[in-house]
Formats: sequence, C-alpha cells, structure tokens
Amino acid sequence: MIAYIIRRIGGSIVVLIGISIITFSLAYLVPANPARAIVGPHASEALVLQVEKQLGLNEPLPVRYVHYMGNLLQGNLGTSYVLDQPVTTLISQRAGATAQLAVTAWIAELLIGIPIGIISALYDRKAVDHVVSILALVGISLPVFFVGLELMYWVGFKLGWLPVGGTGGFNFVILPALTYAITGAAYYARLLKSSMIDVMSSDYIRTARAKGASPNRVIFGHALRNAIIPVMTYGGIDIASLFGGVVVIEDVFGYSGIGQLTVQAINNLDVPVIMGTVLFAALFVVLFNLLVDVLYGIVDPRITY
Amino acid sequence: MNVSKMRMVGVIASMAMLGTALAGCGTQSATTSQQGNTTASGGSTQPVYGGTLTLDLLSQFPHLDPAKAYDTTSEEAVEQFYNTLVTYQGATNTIVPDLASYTVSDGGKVYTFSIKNAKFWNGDPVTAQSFITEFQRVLSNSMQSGGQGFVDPLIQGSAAYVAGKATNVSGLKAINSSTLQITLMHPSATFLYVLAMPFFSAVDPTYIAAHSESYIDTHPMGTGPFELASYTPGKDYVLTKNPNYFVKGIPYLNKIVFNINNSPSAVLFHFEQGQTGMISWNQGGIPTEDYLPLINNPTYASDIVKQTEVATDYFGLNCAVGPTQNVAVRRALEYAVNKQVIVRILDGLAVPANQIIPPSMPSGYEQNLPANASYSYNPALAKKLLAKAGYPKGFNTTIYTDNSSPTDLKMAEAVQQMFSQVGVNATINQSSWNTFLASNETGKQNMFTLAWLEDFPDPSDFLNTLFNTNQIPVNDSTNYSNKQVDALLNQGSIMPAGTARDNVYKQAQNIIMSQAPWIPLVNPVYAAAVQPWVKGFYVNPNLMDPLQYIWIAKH
Repeated sequence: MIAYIIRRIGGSIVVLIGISIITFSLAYLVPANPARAIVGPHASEALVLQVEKQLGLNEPLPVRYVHYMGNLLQGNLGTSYVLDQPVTTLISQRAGATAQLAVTAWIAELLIGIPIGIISALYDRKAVDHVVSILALVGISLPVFFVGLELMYWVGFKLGWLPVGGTGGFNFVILPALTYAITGAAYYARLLKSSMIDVMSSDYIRTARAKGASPNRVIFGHALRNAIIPVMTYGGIDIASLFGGVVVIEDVFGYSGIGQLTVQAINNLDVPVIMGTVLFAALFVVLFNLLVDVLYGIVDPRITY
Repeated sequence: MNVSKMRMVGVIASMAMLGTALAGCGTQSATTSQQGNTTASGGSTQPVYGGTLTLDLLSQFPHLDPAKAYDTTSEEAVEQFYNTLVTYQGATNTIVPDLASYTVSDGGKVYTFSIKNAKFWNGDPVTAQSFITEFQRVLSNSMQSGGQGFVDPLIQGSAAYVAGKATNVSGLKAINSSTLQITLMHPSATFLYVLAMPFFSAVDPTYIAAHSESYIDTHPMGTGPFELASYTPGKDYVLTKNPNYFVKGIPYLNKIVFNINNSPSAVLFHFEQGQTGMISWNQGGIPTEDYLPLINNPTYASDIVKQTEVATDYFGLNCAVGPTQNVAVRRALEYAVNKQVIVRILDGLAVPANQIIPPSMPSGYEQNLPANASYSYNPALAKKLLAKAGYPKGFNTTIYTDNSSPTDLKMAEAVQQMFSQVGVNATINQSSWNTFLASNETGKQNMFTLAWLEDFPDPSDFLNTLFNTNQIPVNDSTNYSNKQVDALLNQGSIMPAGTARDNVYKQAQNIIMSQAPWIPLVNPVYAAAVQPWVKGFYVNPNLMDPLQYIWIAKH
C-alpha cells in the first residue's frame, strides 16, 4: 500500500507540472500586456517598460516559467497584478468559504442522493421508482444557475428564510449548497440504484437472506457496503471539483470563494492568480483521487494494491 | 473612457453575466438632485444623524492607497478615507477648497495653498509635507502610480525626480508647515482638476514611513469622513464615522457596511427587501440585469437616479490600416450608423452622440457643428460615398471588441448589421478586455468599439489624449495625425481657461470630426437605485459619490 501511495504521489507531481505548463503557456501567450493595464493610460512608456521588467514580462516564456516554478517550490505563488497581494493570501482568504460550501454541498448531495438511490433500487420498476426516476432526471437536467435563482427568489426573497446572496455565516451557505445538492444528488441516486440492483441479485445476498438475515441487515449490512464503491469513486471526483471552486454557484449567489476569485482573475488576465487557483483546484483533484483509491481498499478488502 | 476605469467597469459587468430578471413591470424616469441635503426621490427635510447604511459592493476594492487608485471602485473608496487640496462643489464642475484654500500667481505658474487645521485619524496634523510626500510617491517609478502622467512633466523638477536625477521635486515647496507652493513648467487650465483626483490626497508622512506599501494599500490612514474599522476578505468592509472630521457637521451616518456581493440577482433582491440603501453606489451603474426589472416595476421606478456621463462610447476607424485609411470611406461609414438604434439596444441608458466631446462637458462641446463635421443617418448617401471612394461593392473588414461588458458586444453587433446594409461586411473579433486593449494599443485594429470617460471636466482630456500625434498608438489608436490639430491642441494646453481656449478646442474637434477617425455613438447614462429613505445622495458629473452627505430618514 505504501509503495502504491508513493507511486501515485510521484505520478500526481508529474500531472501537476503538466497542468502548470499548460496553464502558464495559455495565460501568457494571450497577446495582452498586464503592465499597461496596471499603470493606466497616462503613464509613460518608460514606466510601462519598468513595470514589465519588474513583473519579468520582458523575459522569454521558458525563463519566466522556470522563475515561477522556483518561487513555487518555496511556497511563493506570486503577487496579484490587480489586487497587489500575494496569491497565497488571496487563496487562503477564500479557501475557508469554498471549503465550507463544498463540504456542505457534498454532504447534502449524499443525504439526498443515497436514500433516493436505495429506495429506487428496492422499489425497482414500481410507482415509487418511476416518481423518483423522473425527479432525478429533472434534477440532472436543470441548469445550476436556474435552480439557484429559483431558490434565491422563493426561499430567500419571497419567504425570507435565508439570505439571498453574499458571504457570511452558515446561513449564507445553505442555499448555494442546496442548489448544488439538488442538481448533483440525482447522479448519486442513479449510480447507487444501478449498483444496488446488481448487488442485490448476487449470490451472497441470496445466501444472507436464506440464512434469515433481516431485510435491514441485508440492505445496510451486506448490499450497501459493496454497492457504495462506484458512489465513492464519483464522490471523490465530485468533492475535488467542488473544492476547485463551484464557479457557477459562487457567481450566482455572489459567494466569495475560490471560484469567484478565478473568474475575476481570468477577466483581468491576472496570471499569477489564474495559475494559483488552477493549481489549487488541480491539487485537490489529485489528492481526492488518491484518497478515494486508498479508501477502496479499506471499504472493500477484496481490493489490494 | 479612461482605460483603467473602463477595465474595472468591465470586470463588474462581466461578473453580472448570470443574473436574470424576476420582477414586475411599468415605466419610470427620474433625475438626480443637485445638492447634498435634498433627496434623490423628492422631499427636503432636516438631516438626521446616526444609523448604518448597508450597500452591496460588486467586488472588493482593488486599492485603498490613493497613489494606486485609478479604477472606479478604488477611487471612490479612497474618497471616503482621504481628502485632497481641492475638490468639486456638490454636483457641479466647480473646484472649491477641500483641505486648503489657494491663490494662483499672475503668470498662472505658481499655486500657493494654505492648509486648513485638520488631523489624520491617528491625531497627526496635516501639513504641507503631507502633500509633498504623496506627490513624490505618485511620481516615484517604483509606485507604478497611474497619477504620474498627470503631473509629470507639468510640475517643475518632476522630470528630474522621475529620472532619478534629483531627490526632491523642485516645484514642490513647504513654505511653512501650513503653506504649500507648487510651481508649474507652464500655466495649466486643468491643474486644479488634477489636484482634485484622489492620487493627490494628503497622507501622513510618519505613517507612510513606518509601513510597507502593501500594508498602506489595505490599511488607510487618512483625514476622510469615514475610517476603515474592519475588512473581512471576501465578506465586507465596515466604515465608521470620523468624529474629528475637519468639515463640521458631517458625516451624518455612524457606519457604512459594504457587503462584497457580485451577484446582480442578490443585489436586486437585497434592495427590494430594503436591506441595502442603494444599487450602484459606485461608478459601475446598476448592473445590466437589474436595470430593466427596476424601471419596469412601479414600486421602484421612482427610486432610479439617472445622469448622462461625461463620456463617449465610440467606434474607432483606423486612419492607417485598411480601407478606412481613405477619409472618404470613413466619412461614408459615419452616415451608415443609426445611433437611435444603439440607444434602444442599451435599454435607453444612453443618448446619441454627434461629436467627441460630451454635451455635459462644461466647455468644448460644439452646439452648431459645421456641415462638414456633422453626419446624420443616411445609408443611401453612405453607399454613394463608398462607390465614389472606389468601393462600389463595399469591402470586408474586422470589428474588434471586448467581452468585459455585455453592451460593447451589443454595440459592435448593431454597427456590424448597419455596415452590412451599405455593403461593408465585418466579422467581429471579441476577446477579453486585456487582450483587446493590448491589441488596440498597437494601432493595428481596423475598427473597434471603445469608450472614454473624463478624468476631469476639460476638453483636453478627450482631445489631447486621444488625437494628438504624440499619443499614437496607445491612446490615439486610430492613428489619427494632423499637424494643424496638433498645433491647436498644444496651444490649448498652455492657454488660460476661457472662451479663447474653448474655441481652440472646438476648432480642433471640428477638424477631427470632418476627417472622421471616430464614429461617436452615444453618451452613456449612469443609473443608480436609491431607497426613498436614503437622503442627500447626488451624482457629481465627475462621479465622486458623497457618502458623507448621506443620511437616513425614518422609514
């Protein structure tokens, strides 16, 4: 297992370097001059050139990349061109908010998706299953921004139960998290349903029933444990992408997290922030994928490395 | 529009892309009041002290250091925290003393400021050195201040200081602790306007010396009406009243809370719920997605304050690249554009423009444009002129625009459609604001949409910045060059304010318009929504928002 983890970490580093090269190249190959944007139209050409020099924009792209990676290895992600603050500070200021939203949304997805998946599997092709399936299809089909705006309007504005937008305490997290959960839970439900149906027809479930195990014991003690594996795989990817920034949701609700920071940075061509947020998101995807793979072995002892 | 300002507005607008309209219907129109103690929505009563005003802020303030504030949101934040030597009176273009009264020498080159008795929040007194320090910061290359070009090489000795050949600016002298003397290289009709810009605020030299640039940029230490009590990144700014403000009787509010919230839908709902006092406190205007729901809702229609900006949205025609090198082609294209249609697609938040200088500019606007500088919508004439210029079948070209503001693309598409009616087939090249700007500043774009918003109320800020040959290609990105115009613009820059100077700029503009490097499209209209219980709000043409004059009525 330890050898496997070390191998995976090595591979992950290669992936992250690849991502950094692609992002860096794309961001700097765009024909724009951040130096002019920083100093404004009335600044002299000499000042523009000086800022270019300060930012290292006068150097060839590979040299800039080497400098960037050198700084990165020392934990320095650079300074925002627009906000003039260290990228690490900007990310750390928002990471908590995004983490809170991501974890809440993920838990809400599971709380909605898993029971629906189980019910749907147990009542396969019965009325309950049809109703649940239709609801799941609707959930999958609805655009996130539409669900978000409807929740904002009805729950936040008309009923006034929760804040309609912005960033603050846990109250501000509920609606955005619910938005993500409504649109995302359906995936879990469908995934779990098909997995449960497969498992429920297995020999060992039949054996458990024959031995007189109670229905609850069969479902939760035997079937669910195996049926949950594909859900875990998807769950790992899902929470990683959530941590990377629920960009649309943060935008709809004006929630100040990593996603919003990324959108602003892209609009401003604030390359250090773009690089920082992309690498931050990539790091989470890589870490959670690794975590999920390790958890496979814990949940299902048949899986070994 | 000043590109830095344009950039920030663009960011705000693009943040607003996902909003949607979810409210009512009806019609409206309203105008702003002109004085601080009257209200935007009618009624005039005695100001009430106290209370908290909550506002939504579409993005965090990029800078709180006056030397760095050159985008719309930063400028307006800095104005709450700092004061300048002079400022604008109410909603007018008139310059009045702020932290100092002043006299100007006969030759117009020496300005002497008598500084008022005022203190920074930490108790340090404001002195002549408070301004000298700030001028030197702005001029310093390491500061990268957008203000540098406004005073260099205008102030005597600035060039030597910028070049590192002098440790002081010879034109800046502290006669004594409360008297500042500024000597210019030549008289300038616009210098007082420059001094009213937030770049040239009083800063505490001791505080500046003791803290890093990045600290100062997030922890202001000013003389202003409000102090920054707290900033929670990504969440809010809390401002509290400066009890020792040097202007007696203001501010009225005890506290202002800016919630950072870039969702136009949430901004609209918060306003409708009465949680916030205004939409668009700052220069960005009401987000596009919120404007129609507000003006179409009878409940809120009367809460809208509108004012035509001292700005011109225009369509640039390159004088050095492509068929538009030919002045006859450029003139033909002027006749092809129906500006009323553009006003309609901007939801009425604009008025048609017929020249470079906006009508709200206090001088330089030409009421009676000469026939050869005046164009009205006439596609038949446009076709005829194109044929005469050697393009009977029109031509193919590219229109460059940016994606930071939904309105820019709308305008580009409208012009594209109008051009196609006269045989000119254009493809639209849309890119991010920075990419567009970098391309624009090379002077190689065939045609483009852009806007210019005044830095100060003087025609030179438009004409000299955008059409002088020495501004090619960064600001004069149409590559317009005319020796006669250059001579007029250079002459105007050293003339004293008055009719003779105004006529020089009018003459320059008429020549430029006759050669059609721009198709002036519209003068945009700024709109804000103000709750009826928020009193004292007004819009200065230079868009300085006076939160210190605002008070909250019982509601």
